Amino acid sequence: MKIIYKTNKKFKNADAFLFGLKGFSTLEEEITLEELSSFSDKKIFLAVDKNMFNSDLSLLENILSNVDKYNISGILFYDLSVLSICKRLGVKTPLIWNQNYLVTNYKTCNFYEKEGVSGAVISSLITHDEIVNICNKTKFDIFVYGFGYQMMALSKRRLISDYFEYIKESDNKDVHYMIEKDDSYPTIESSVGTKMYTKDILNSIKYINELKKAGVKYLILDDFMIDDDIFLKVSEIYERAVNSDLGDDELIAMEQEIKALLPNVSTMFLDKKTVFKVKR
Amino acid sequence: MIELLAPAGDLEKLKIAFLYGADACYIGGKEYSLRANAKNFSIEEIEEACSFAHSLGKKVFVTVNMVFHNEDLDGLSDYLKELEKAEVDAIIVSDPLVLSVLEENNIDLEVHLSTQGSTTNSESVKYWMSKGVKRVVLAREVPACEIKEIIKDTGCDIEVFLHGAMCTCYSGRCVLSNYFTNRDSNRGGCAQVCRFVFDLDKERDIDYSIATKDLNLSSYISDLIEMGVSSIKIEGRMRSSYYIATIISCYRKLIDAYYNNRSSEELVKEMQKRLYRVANRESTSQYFKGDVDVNDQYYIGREEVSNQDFLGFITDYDEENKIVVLEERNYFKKGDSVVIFTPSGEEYNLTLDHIYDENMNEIETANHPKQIIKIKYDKKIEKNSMMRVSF
Repeated sequence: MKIIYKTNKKFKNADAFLFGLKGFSTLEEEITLEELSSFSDKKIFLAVDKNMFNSDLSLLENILSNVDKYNISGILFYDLSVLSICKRLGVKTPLIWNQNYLVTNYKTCNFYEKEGVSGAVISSLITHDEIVNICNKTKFDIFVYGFGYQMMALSKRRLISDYFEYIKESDNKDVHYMIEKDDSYPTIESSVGTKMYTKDILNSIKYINELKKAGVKYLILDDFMIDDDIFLKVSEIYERAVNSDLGDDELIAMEQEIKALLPNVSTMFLDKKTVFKVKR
Repeated sequence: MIELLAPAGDLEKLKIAFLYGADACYIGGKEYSLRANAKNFSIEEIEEACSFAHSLGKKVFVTVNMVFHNEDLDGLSDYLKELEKAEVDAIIVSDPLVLSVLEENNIDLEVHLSTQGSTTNSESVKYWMSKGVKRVVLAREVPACEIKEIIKDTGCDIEVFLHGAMCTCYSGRCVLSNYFTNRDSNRGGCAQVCRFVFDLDKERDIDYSIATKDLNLSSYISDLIEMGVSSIKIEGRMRSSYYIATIISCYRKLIDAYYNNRSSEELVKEMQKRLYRVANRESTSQYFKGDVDVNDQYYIGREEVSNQDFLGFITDYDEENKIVVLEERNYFKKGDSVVIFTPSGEEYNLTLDHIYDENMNEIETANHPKQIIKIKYDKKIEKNSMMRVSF
């Protein structure tokens, strides 16, 4: 298992980074193809994960036609236009299926494998058992979000700007908090629309051994909204967990260590199944 | 001719939708649909729905559009075989594993791609066509100019949402329900968190909401037809029969008026008045004319008054005694002005000079839902007609 850092900081010892392709991603950390040269000794994964419209296709195709010139370890795509264009152009850079919430079973992974896709970023909405089950039944390279705030929703609407226009006030913040009862959900507006994030921070450290054993290839750590010093400490803990042979007790101790730094960490759906049929 | 596609939550609503002018209905089975908590159809009911639709030359599409987890896969191929046997006209899917299951099991079903796939461009439509998808339901975010381009670029059957509630976020890309309520939005459990009221930053007294107004493209029927859209779809599998009848009859009139060269602004205005009354929510054209703005959102002061326009469902007409027999739905009384509208599009305005109970005892008020009420009226009224308040 390797760690991928979704961060705009250059971690000296990091093996791999995840950035968004400028203008074509939902990530806060975006980069142009030309800027990739400064990471020549690192593995770089590039998220091209916004919803594409016809007006995007010409430039998107132009970029994808050049992407093999750069040493990119994988393109994380959401919109099927990326897959379609890459197949048509014969792009060699590996494609990673990254439809966030839709990567929830092994059979759809196998569908995309037949389409020439190399891997998938597993949904953060399924349990650790389900992740293991998918790993056992697919040859895909499996990516799992290990740490960080999770995006809960993406709207094309400018929900914040519209609200401020409605109440006739000016907006001077980059990050707002959507509050329900006592819970605060970070909300950000960007060129792709409005992104709403979880109130808690996903922390999967206690499942690291299980995920390693199942063959998860990459664990993504995200520093979005996390203090730099704290994230550095968290990353060191994760590096130790991933690169050492630790017992479960030690992992639970590490979970507590992280909790001391960030009280709002949670295992989220890793140990909690969602329901969809409600008894009346 | 453009297809008017209606939602149907059960057999009664499906029959109403067809009688009032829908060309096709989409329904959910007991499993694998994105309205897991609706009544939905058993296989026997799906067979009856198809048989009824086909006898009228109409179609039934079945939603199999959940995003599957490993545990949901058991029984899927058997279910798809049953749908094939029931002669459904197409299934609506979002997870491409359904395509694999169809192929592996040699099941011959037409496939439509659900809006849950958030398809927003020509390249994606071409991709799905290459996988055997016959029709794509475009994301609601696609504007008219790009719908036109997509049809021109791909030649694919394109289905577009015409009327009803909107998701705030890209379909498939919202799991607020999962995080707020543990109910899985992509498996049919959506708790509609986008209708909640929030506070923003706890810095002011004005509530924050992300709720949207409804979609209403009644002003753009000619545009949709002329740009080559194959099917226009009404949202709302959990809506009432009266809602379905009203919405379908309004859009049927607008579509027929276009093809008969009888479109007029007056007709559109009249239909819009009825569409508003039945939903009691404001509506806009949303993304159809381009990006949305503050006017497409609800913030504060939204009120959804319970609709009591629907007065009764006509179950029979006694030709000998010239009596309309109806089942009461909402309170009405002697002297009220009402409208009876019929599946074939006729409308009758009348004043209720006398109303009678089931035994022809004259009564002053009808205030017991489901009570059988009789009204004297000289003109023959079709069964399945509806009586509403006059407005």
